[in-house]
Amino acid sequence: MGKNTHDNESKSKYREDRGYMSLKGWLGRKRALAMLGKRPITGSIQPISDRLDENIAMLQTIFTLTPDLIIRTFESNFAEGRVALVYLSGLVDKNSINNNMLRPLLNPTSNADTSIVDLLSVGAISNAYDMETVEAEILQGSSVLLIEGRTEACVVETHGWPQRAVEDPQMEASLKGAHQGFVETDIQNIALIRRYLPNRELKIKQLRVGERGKTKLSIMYMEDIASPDVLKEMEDRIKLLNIDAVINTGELAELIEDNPFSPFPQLVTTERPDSVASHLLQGRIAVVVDRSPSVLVGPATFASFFQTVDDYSTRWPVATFIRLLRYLAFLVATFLPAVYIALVSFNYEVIPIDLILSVGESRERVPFPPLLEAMLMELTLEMLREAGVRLPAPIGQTVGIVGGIVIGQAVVQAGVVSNIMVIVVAFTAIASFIIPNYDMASALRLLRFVMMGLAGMFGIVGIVIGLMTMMGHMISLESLGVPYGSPLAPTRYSDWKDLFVRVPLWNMKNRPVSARARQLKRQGENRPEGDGK
Amino acid sequence: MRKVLNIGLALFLLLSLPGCMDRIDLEDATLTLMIGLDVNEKNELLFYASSPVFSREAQVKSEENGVKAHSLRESRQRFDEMVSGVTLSGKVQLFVVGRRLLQTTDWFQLMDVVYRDARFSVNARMIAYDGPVHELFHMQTKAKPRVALHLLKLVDTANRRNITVKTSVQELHRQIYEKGLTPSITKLNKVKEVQVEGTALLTEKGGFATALTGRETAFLQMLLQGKRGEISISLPYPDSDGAEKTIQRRISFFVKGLSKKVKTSFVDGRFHFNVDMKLRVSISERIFPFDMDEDYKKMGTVLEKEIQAEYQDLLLKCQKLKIDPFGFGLHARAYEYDEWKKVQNEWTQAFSQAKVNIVTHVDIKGNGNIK
Repeated sequence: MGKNTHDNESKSKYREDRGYMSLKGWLGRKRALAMLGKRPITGSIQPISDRLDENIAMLQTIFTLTPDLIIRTFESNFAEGRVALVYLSGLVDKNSINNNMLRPLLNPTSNADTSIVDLLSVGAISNAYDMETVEAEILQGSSVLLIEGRTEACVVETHGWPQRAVEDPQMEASLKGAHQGFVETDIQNIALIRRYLPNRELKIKQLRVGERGKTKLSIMYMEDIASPDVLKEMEDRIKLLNIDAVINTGELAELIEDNPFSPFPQLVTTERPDSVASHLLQGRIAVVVDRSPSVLVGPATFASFFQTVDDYSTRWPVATFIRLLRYLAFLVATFLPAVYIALVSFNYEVIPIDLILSVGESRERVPFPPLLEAMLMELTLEMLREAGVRLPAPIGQTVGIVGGIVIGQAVVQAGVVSNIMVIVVAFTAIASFIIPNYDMASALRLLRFVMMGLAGMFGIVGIVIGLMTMMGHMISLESLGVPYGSPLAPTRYSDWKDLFVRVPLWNMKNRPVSARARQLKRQGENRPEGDGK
Repeated sequence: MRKVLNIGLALFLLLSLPGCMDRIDLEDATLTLMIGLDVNEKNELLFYASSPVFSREAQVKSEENGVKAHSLRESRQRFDEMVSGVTLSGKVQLFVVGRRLLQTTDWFQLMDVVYRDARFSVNARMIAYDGPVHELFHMQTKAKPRVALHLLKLVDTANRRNITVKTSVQELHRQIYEKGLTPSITKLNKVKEVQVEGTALLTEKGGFATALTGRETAFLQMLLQGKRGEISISLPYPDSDGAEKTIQRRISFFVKGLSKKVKTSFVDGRFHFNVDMKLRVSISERIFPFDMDEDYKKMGTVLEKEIQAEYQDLLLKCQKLKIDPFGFGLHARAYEYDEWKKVQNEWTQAFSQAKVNIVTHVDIKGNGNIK
């Protein structure tokens, strides 16, 4: 008896030691570790000296081997002694420095009584009192004025790094929606979103993530709509990150999603400001990641990956049809090759008689079993797809033609695969392109291979096993603590207005429950009545 | 973690090794589309199978084999010895029984495997062939598609026009074991070419009783199924000097709607069935002058009489042969259960003595596009 309890204890201790794998454990451990480590303060705070020479020397020891660091010292009438202007040359706007800082400071005609700050014709100016802040500000593109005899430095915002113009979104092209996509600067991205929501309830919480990268994250939400619980969850998860840098939105999504082993994306990344605005209005939360041209939106549901902005700008019967088409495409993209394999190698009885003859005729020459044949073609397709992505647009098209027409034709003529298989592959490819969200489409690409394997082993039974497992997983999945399968499971009929059918806009009086909005009403009576009224 | 991974890996490998036992790739299969049963002069059972050939190199797209065996399952073994693929019976479309075999009693017992083996297709159409079955299997000509497919279409479309019945293998099972009904299956014959020749009516045990022409089949179908598919009937119109003329008086019509009521009673030791049929018809052909505006009632009565006469002949024929393809036994069981109970095992005998009275009411609804 005594021995037994001892055993149990040692076992649980063993588990703890080994970090026994479970999903909850994984998140919990992450959380605990972050709490323990809390972010160590590196070195002690170094105050700014009142002697300019010392400060400059200090900067030079901090920024060794930094040829783009500019330290310009000059005498000015408005200071007790010499002044040093420090900035990194590539990160600042030279016009702003020359015209709005140097010129007024060097111009002797100005009134001698004004303080130095009032001379600078720049919007954002702040003070720094220690070298760490100065260092950080310089690295982020501000310029710093150090003045002889003063222990505070003047930090002037003169950002001006290389930037791309606002362009059409690449991944989420739209026919009728706006043609502005996000760029790599968060200020611009926030501005793009704010253009849709000029409202004081649009709040932005800024955080910095990454020891080295110090990526600026802006959590955006509508304060009177978004659920505080979900917001807190998002904030907590971001705050717990302890990492070098977050380069891209995708990285952030992977670091904070609920189930890292799920094939499904659990947070939406979008490059469309109008899409973000509409999500915010539904009560979701967006995270703008500086230096990344896409924005993270959560909590997401499975259905939200099948909705696009265009759905709401086309008339509702059309939008409904396209919506249904996408769900059909989801099924085709995931299951069609698997069904082909299952039917050809196990359950030939269900193929209609006329079809079975033509399938049989085309299969007859093929030297591979159906599973291998399908794998071969599907892998070829994936390769063509990847090849097309990495190539510049004109060559990318050539790849499509070579792959689609030449290989497809030749492969059938050579009798390597059957022409039914080519049709199946083509259908699958088209279907997977219909899925509007890239992450979801990629997830389906993976699932397709899993299903093919199952079908190759167990036929239709295998497909059913795969489908049930997928369903079960989807139902148990959460996004920021909100059920991923909603509004299907848990069933929220009120949200079905925007699920398979997109009902007329005036009928969608409430925000989706699945987004956990705390204020549901979004419009009054808007039903058009024509001339009758 | 490692333990979980190991178990997962082991499971995956173990599961993928065996897969499913019954896996069979389509190209390795020889799909039997048509099965034939017959018996030769020496009373040996003959089995035929027709299957498509998928090979591009083959000139003929269909192969037909015949073997001697003692049962269907045994014959499969023999077929496997001959054909390249594994003989599969999941896609059988036609099940043909030859004339000689039909005349033996108990041939239906040969079909046991069809129902016992779940992989056998029970949707195949049952066909009685009036002649040796090998004729049918070796009728392939260049002008026709594969024999089985050609016959399949022939039977299905003929059934749509109610020239013959369409009895699946499953349905035959019901008809054989149903006490109040005798089976009826499609009949094929070869005159110059193989053609549908109405319906073969079988006895309770499945032996051949008689054949109905395509014309009679329409009447059978009306009584058995009601209106299903297209029913077109052509009747002679009574004419005093008709016999000499080349073009005789005839009238054809579509049955647009049909409702029937069967009143069942048991009087004086025999069953009485009073069938009341209401037909809504539309004239499609009338090759003699007639004033429809004035005399449409007269036309209706003439048609009623003709139809009744047809039915009378049909019923008499069946009662004489002690068969009940119309399913009157079902009505007897439903409405006169006590009496039915006594005769259920000799229902055909009881039916042969029953009094069946068919009254038709013809309502002419349409007259075609011309007067």
